[in-house]
Amino acid sequence: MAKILMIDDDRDLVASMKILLEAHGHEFHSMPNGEAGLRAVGEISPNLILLDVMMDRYTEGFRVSQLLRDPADDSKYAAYRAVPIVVLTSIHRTTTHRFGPNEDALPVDAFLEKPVPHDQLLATIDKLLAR
Amino acid sequence: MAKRKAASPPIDAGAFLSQVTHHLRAPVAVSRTMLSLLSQGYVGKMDPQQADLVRRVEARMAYLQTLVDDLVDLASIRTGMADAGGPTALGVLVRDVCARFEPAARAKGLELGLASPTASVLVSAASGLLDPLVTQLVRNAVTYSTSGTVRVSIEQDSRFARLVVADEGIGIPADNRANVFEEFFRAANAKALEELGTGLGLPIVRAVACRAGATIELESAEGRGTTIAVLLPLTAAASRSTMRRRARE
Repeated sequence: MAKILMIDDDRDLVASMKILLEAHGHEFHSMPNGEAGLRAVGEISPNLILLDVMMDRYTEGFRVSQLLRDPADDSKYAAYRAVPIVVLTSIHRTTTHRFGPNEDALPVDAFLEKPVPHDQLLATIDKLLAR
Repeated sequence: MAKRKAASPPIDAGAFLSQVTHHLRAPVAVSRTMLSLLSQGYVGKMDPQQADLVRRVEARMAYLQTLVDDLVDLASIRTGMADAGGPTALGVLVRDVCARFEPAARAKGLELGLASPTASVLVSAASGLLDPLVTQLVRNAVTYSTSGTVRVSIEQDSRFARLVVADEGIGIPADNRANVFEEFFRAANAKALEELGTGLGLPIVRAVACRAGATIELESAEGRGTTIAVLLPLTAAASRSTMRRRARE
């Protein structure tokens, strides 16, 4: 199936996603922060990235997505610009903003609120991998 | 030795609430994820007694999550952190909220219908402020109905949009109607039907209405249903446009 990289500092959630995604035949990798996650993108070359927002820093996940989707010709991550990014977060009610996938403000492919029902997550992953 | 009085750091209430919310929601959300792995058999099959206990814990955790969300909504509305300034296309917001509750309504055999004027109704309050109001009204109507229809409609006059949510549910007993806007109050028939409710739904509706300059009208008959209408001020431009259109008619 697919190589999925999860960048999230919540060990319990990572353990849960490993059980779920491996049960559905995916190869699962994880990193606990944005810096290690960005390094792993180059090493693993994932087919899809699951990304948390609030890790060591308040909006670390947003920074990761912006770096991965940096349109500059000399971007370090240019080869991974097309890798689908799914944001998993509980930030929905923590700000007065309502976030959603947007090419400018938040360059990601899907924005799912934790806890994401398993079937919804799997369907989102399948749809993005099939693109 | 010189003494210096410690200065209080400036309080960013919004950032603090964001952090508190994150720290409350995250463990609840992860616990629900782990429980659903158990209940869906990803780590082995449970016997009926174990499955029943897990189902009960799942229900409690879902309640806890709703409670956290409701408390945060109420705090951000009351403290002015929820963005008040619109405009909002009310029909779009209401359609989105109804879509969120459609699966729950269908699962209970309820018909959830939305009727709105064809013209876009622009109200002056922000969608972030109005979302909890519409959500609570539709959630209550679906939760406290066991059959029949839930009708959501939007009408417009020269100054107000009238949002109406009408159900054919259990209704509110006459002697409880004065209390339903109080925090954590739950009518006896509501508790009997749905054990786990936060008692914050209508207080949130009232708090939003206060911020948005709206008026609430409640009609209910026990055993026959409840109708709640909220009159929301239109934007000045929408109001002028409506008056011009009416003058031409």
